[in-house]
Amino acid sequence: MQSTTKIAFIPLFFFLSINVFAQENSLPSSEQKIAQIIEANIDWKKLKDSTAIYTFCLKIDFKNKKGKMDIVTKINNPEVSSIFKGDDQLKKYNYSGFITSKKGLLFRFYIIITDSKSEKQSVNIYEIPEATKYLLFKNENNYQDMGIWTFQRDNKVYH
Amino acid sequence: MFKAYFSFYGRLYSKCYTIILVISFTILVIISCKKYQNYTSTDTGSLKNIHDLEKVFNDENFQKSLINNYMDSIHIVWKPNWEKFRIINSNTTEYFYVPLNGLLTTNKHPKAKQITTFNTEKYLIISVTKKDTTFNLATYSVNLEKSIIGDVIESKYKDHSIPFNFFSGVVTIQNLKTGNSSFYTYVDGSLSVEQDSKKLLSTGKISTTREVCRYYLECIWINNFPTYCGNFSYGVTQTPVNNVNTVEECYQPPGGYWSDGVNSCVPDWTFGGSQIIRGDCSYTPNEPPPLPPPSSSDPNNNPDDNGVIINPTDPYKFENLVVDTCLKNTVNEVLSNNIKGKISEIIKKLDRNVNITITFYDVENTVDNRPGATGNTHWLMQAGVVKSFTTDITLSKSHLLESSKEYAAAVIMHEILHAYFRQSTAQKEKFDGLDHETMAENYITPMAEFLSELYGIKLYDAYAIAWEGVQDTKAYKEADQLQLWSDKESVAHTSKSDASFVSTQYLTKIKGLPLCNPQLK
Repeated sequence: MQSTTKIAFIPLFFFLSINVFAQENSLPSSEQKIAQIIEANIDWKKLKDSTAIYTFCLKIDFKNKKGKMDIVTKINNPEVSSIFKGDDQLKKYNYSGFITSKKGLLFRFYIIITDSKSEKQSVNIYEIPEATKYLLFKNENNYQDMGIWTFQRDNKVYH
Repeated sequence: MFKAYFSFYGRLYSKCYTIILVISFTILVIISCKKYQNYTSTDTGSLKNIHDLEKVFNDENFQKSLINNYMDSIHIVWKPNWEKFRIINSNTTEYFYVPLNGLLTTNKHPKAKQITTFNTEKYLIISVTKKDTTFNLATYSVNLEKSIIGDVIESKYKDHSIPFNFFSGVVTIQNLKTGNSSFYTYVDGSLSVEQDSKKLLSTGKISTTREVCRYYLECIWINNFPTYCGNFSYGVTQTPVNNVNTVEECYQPPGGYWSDGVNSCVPDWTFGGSQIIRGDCSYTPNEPPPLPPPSSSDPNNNPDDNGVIINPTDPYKFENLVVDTCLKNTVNEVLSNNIKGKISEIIKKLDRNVNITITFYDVENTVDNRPGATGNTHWLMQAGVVKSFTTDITLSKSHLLESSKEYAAAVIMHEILHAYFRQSTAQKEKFDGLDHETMAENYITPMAEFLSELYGIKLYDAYAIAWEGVQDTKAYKEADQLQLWSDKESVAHTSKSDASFVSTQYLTKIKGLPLCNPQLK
């Protein structure tokens, strides 16, 4: 093959390699990113799996202190807050994605542990969050409702 | 002389041929570097592809119709975001939905700035039939008193992921060629007419009732943020109005906060101007296009829905954290294959799904002394919809470093199937306790074909290895002989002991490629 003909194939290889690696990034929503911060900063090994379901609220308050934004976070379940290490990450988060006239953001979380020691099969665990949301969580009109999120953990190991 | 003549023109021909090749490939590169996928009739049944439509849009200069001017000083250009297009197929019409991003310039600030919309979404909707193609500007204006979209956070407007299934508000459809506009009112996702006509129309059927003459008020708001808050400086609200009224009808964007941890921004909206968009009162409306389909970041998005195509490209989500080089390479070979078939499709689907993260590790031995294990499985769900799935696959060095490459690859595939069976909580429920039975019934042939093609081993041997991991199943225990491949003419069987003998040869490296220093066939 002549060298000029060989050169002709260089763009082909370039073209092929670009197509193999070309990927468009699709980013999660802002509220999902916050839920993922929570998930990543809970020390899951310390959470007792003898309990199948936990619930907790996360409030992120926006407080304007002399022109500076003060972010205050609060988790209302001591069992979860004692093993949550992501306060700093939440405070440093850029909340530019949230436009709200409310006091702050309110996330409601369920933790469901399947194959836990106390799991009962008499109820459909996936229906629990929807069925109990009004029972377990107060209506907080002052906060922007960021919805109900569930962390489901499966203790089983598959071989 | 003749020799010299032919030699000269031969070289010239060769050079021309080379130049043509170079130019062709360069054009191909330019075209293919577009981020979005160019759907064609072969992969979606589309009558046209998005590139054709973008070209028509440019050739017809429709962009000119998507410019709004306010007070002679503020200009907004609505630019189609071609990368984020979605499609709905409806009977004989194919609707392409291209979200529009607003770019604002003012006399003081000539540099274009992307604006944030509130209360409003705009799409270029291109309806394609076999006969013609129509370009429409669609404006979805939310009824803030009624709609859930009123509470939707701003980021959803930014990435065009607002769900429309319960949309309440007004839709304006303006034909970009004729300039004719139609208004449609929606309540909870269903089409209705004005209250005074007392006639409710179903979504799929519209009467020839003359549309009520209506107007639509588009309002510009400027935020007096400090410069470091610049991204949020402009907003547009749009309000349906029944007459040409004053700016009092303009809806002010909501308040909000923005903090980068040090600086804070509290918006202070100032009215920047408005314009009335007038509907053609004598126009008899056609059936409107369906409401926009969900985007990939919408919890209601279901890629399996017929007629809805989501831009499918997502980041690489397999993480190979295996430390041992030989084992790591084998994992890469399984993941980065060029083989066609069911296993490859599963790998690609898992690989390209942004919501899925599967991480490979290696350990001396797994807790249960097995060659591989899949665990630490968890899901993040919003309102019952899985947003992310994460699991770990652990490979045992004590088992696999002493085995052949083919055997290790079979273990990797086996564990990938365990992960695949729980990529959603619904799938977990469906397959719980049935993983191996399902593999024995449906995945032995795909695994064998994959192995045989990847490493060039006999199909018989590949089947024997594939059966190895599912010997606890009913299908295996109750079988007198193991079925291997079957076609129209024959069904191949082998005894369990023969299959086990072959598999053991790969386990002990008597047969197959060594895990390290392999020579791929």
